Amino acid sequence: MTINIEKNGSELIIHVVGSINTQTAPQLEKEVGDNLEGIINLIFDFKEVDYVSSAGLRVLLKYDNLMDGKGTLKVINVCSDVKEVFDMTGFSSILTLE
Amino acid sequence: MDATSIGKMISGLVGTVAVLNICVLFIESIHSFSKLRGDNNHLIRMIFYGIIGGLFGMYATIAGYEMPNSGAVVSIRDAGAMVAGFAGGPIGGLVAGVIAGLHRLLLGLPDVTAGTSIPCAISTVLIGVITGFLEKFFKSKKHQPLWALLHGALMEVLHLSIAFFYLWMMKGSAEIAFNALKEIVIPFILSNSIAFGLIVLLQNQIRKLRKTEDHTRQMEGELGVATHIQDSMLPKIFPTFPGRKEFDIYAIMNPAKEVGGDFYDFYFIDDNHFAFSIADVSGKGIPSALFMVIAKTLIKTNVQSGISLSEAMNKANLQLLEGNNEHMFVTCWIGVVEISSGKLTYVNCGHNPPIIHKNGEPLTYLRDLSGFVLAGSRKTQYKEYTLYLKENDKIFLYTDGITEAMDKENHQYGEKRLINFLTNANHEVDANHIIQDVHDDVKKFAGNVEQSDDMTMLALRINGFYQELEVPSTIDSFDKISEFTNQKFKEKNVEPSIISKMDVVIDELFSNVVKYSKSESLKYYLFVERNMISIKFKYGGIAFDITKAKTPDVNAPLAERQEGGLGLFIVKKICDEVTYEYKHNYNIITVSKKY
Repeated sequence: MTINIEKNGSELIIHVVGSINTQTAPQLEKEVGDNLEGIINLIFDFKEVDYVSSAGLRVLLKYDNLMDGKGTLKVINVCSDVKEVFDMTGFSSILTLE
Repeated sequence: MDATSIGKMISGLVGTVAVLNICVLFIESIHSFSKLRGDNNHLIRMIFYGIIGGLFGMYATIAGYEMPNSGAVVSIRDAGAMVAGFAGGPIGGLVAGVIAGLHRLLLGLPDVTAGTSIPCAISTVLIGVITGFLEKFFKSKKHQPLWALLHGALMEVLHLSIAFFYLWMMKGSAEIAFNALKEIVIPFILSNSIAFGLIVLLQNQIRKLRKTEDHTRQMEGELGVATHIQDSMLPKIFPTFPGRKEFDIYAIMNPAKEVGGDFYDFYFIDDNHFAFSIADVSGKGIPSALFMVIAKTLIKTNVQSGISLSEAMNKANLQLLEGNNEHMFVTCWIGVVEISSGKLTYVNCGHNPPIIHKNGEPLTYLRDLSGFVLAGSRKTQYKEYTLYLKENDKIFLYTDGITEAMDKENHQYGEKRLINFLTNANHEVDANHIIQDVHDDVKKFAGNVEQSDDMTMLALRINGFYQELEVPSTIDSFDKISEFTNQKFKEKNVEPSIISKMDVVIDELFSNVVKYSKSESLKYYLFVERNMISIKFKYGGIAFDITKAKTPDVNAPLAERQEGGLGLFIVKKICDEVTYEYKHNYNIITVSKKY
């Protein structure tokens, strides 16, 4: 997994390439945490994500809770396989997906 | 009396006896009435017989034969009363006697004292009641009809005596009384005693017949239970071993009679060794079914005891020979396949050669013979054979009920037709389809000819093998597993969406093992064949049944959710089958998904 970070003022866009699994999820968690200062709009771009395991879901859950009241969290460009995992776990009803 | 009169008299009496016989025959054949028979004191039965006997008595009185000279009437009215007493006891006899007696009395009107109406009526009642009291006496006798003959004669002597004394009293002369009666003495006694004797004979016969019928019905019922028991002895739940994707197996046993001497069997000896067999006991029906039960049990017990297959069969042979006074024997083919490698060890005890289909090669009969039939000889030492089965290899076992099935021209189905049929069959189908297709073909061949022997078949197909990878139980090992898996997926052209789903599954299960099991290493097994992916994790450490993990509430607000359980929940959602077992200090998780 590789992560590209794009910061536009109060907007943080995380472009993820690869799989978010047990091995890679801690890296994602750290990178987002390190750049969260002053961010109101947190956007995850999953255009090139093959799959998200529950470890990845936990990272999303953590930042969704953190942003609650402070700003917004969005996940964009979700492919159908990842969407399926979001659907079966109920995440798609809570996260803002675009 | 001339010959014509005697002839008329005899034919008239015979006709009446026939009517009485028909009545009895009819009553005894009514099934619901026969149920009352068992209950000796059943009032309905007594009264019913009483009424029937009474009505018959009335008929006999009317149909009686009037003597040409004296005008005295010979009738078998008393036989009706006796039948009622015999079958309905004192109450039956009384009812019949009163009905028939009253009727006789009424016939004497307007002057009942003129003829013998009064003594005849009284006699009928008396005879009915006396016979009724003798009911138990009759039932205790072996030759009931002969006793009935004697009883009938004695009763008529009594009847005639009463009539004689009555007439003597009324006419004041013994001679007049004697003359009035002498003409009917012999026909009267003979006709009644023969009528009663015949009816008892008839009733005896019917009851004997019904007993046989009841017995037959009971035997049939017991046979039905036996069929069921035998049927339930054969493993029949297919697929029998969920989680075992390496092979599939199917078998049927169709007995020619209610129970059969054929059987098939299959079971695991241990995790990696699977035994399957087919056998045919000599003969048919109940004797061979009994022997089949013993043979099946002994073979399985010995094979599962852990000794080599040939030793197991040697032991079973000797055990079956013990006390085998009927000289029954069993032909049997048994194979044990090592699941991880496909190594097949087999022993053939005089059974029909199975057909083996190695992928890409022509089908052949496996004609190796290990020795004589089981329970045949003490000297037999079975020889073991070995071969290797690979992906898509199949083996087909059958009994001679298949190859020796006859058509209406007495041609046998035969080995040639069987192998040709299997050669031309679709080779991609599951074991159960192979069996069904052969079964249908044999039925088609035999047409309307009745199945003469048990038909049993078993098919086993090797789907493929698990590939194994052992890694240390650390997060870093994930890449190795992932690489190993993806290479196999590519080889088997698994579509990307399935690959990404299985990646999630592997990640969830693997991380779970690494985090919680405290096991130092783990074995990873992968199986991708016939549109089926199956993955196994085998590891030591802490036992935890993932199938019993709490299911998270996916509809609860995210903030309220608990951390654990989500990953396993995803696994269960993605996979078709998730099983867990703990065996010999190892956790084994098996998941599978069709694609």
